[in-house]
Amino acid sequence: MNTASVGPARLVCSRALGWLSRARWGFALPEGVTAAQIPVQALKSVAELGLTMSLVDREAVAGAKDAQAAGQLAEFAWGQLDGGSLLYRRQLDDPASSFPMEVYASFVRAGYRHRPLAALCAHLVGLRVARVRELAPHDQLAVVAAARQLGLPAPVDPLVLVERTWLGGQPEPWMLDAAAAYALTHTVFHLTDFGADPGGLPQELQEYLHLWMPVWVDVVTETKAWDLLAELLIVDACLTTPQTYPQAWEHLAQAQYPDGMLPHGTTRAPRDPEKAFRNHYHPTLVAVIAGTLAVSRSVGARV
Amino acid sequence: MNASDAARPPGSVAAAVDVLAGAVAQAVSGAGRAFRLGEAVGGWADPVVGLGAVRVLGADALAPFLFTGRPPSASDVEVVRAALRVFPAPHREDPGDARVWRCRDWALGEVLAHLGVSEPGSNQAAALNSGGEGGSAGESAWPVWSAAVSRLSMLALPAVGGPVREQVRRRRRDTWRGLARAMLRHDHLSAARLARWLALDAAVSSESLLGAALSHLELFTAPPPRVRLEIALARRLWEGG
Repeated sequence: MNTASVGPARLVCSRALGWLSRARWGFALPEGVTAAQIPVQALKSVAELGLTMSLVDREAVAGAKDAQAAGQLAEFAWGQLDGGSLLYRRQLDDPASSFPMEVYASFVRAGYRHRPLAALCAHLVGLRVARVRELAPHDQLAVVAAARQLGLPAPVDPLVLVERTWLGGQPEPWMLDAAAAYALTHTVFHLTDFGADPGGLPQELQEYLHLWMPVWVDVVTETKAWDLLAELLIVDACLTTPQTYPQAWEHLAQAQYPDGMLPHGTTRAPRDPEKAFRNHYHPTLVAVIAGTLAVSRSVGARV
Repeated sequence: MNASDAARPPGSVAAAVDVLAGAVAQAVSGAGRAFRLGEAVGGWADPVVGLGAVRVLGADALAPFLFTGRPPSASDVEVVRAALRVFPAPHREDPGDARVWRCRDWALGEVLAHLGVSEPGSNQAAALNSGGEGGSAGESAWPVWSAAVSRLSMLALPAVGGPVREQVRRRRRDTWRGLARAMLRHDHLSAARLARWLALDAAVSSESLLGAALSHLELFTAPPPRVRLEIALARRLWEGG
């Protein structure tokens, strides 16, 4: 395994964690409103923060300072969710939604628990409706992955679902657009539990990705679509044999702002901190996951 | 280019290249009457632009003879000889450009020899080629390598072997990657050229993707004549030229 990407991956990840720590006010949920009144986008950002920090915690490759920052961010995110009670109330308000369970699963990975919500999730996964949700296949895989994280049976066979995803169809590689690319990355994330189980991705899809990922990484790097590039680098780290992309990592490191924020793409970040946060928190979180997994896989390869 | 453009005698080599590429593409596709190179470029007011077009297309200008098995006439051969006399290979400082010209001339010599026409000097070029012309980009990373072999698509003809063809056989995955990259970048000329390379030895490893790639290029790109020629050659090779 080529370890040349480890240096820039660690650097990008550490700087991104620094920015997230300083910008955590941006994740704060509105106060004085009911759980149902909180905008989904705001809740989603907290969920993504929790997911990211759960992976930093799981991989345990961050330095002491970064690990402490990640722990504090996870604690902050869980606090924003009122220790899970906010998710519980959202689930009570909207029994058909799988969103609270998906969010909760990330926090369970990091060791947090909310027993009433866990009981609700177990009940909902067992319902017939869990088998027939009219979601995109990769979104349905997210539900399956959440159930797995909670120790619940998969409501739908993931191998049946994967055949219906963009990736599962092994399409002509030049037909990849942004929507397909994000669907592909999430298919891989959910099947492999963000790299914890690379074998969860069927062998023929591993081979497909080995063939075409270099092309997509090259083109996405050229177009400076940093958010998508970081997601593709996570995909690479989820494979049984990562290919590693040192040059892409170098480009990502160069694109990162001195304060640690990773821009979404070529658009210059707005000066207004709130707008800058809204536009660029996601790639910065993705950079943390990508960097964490790249370092972790290289450590694993050396052992 | 529309019909009225085609009917108008071209006033520049670039325009003549487009006209000749269109005629060769049509002939390679099996459409129209028997191709005659002398006729294709002989009726223009300025004969030099026609010769320039023959020089630019090189071995590709003779492709219809390779695919139909119909030999070139004496006047067809004379057009090629005149083009070589009037436009000798230019001196290029850039090693990549110089290599393209050497390969271009070598391919032309090979095709002429295959058609039963011997040209003095072609052996020397052949020696140069076999002496490692394929090696300069041979071990490069796939983006660089595929870009380099795309520029050498004039070697992707049934009558032409050599080290570059061997490289493409060996690095088929990289050729595919180059093709997909070119498609995603809307670089249709490079995509068509790499599709042509893949089609040349498709029997080595028949990929159904190639048919999809060719159809995509044909239907989505509204290609200019030189791209259309590359696609037509690829299609002909793919369908058992």
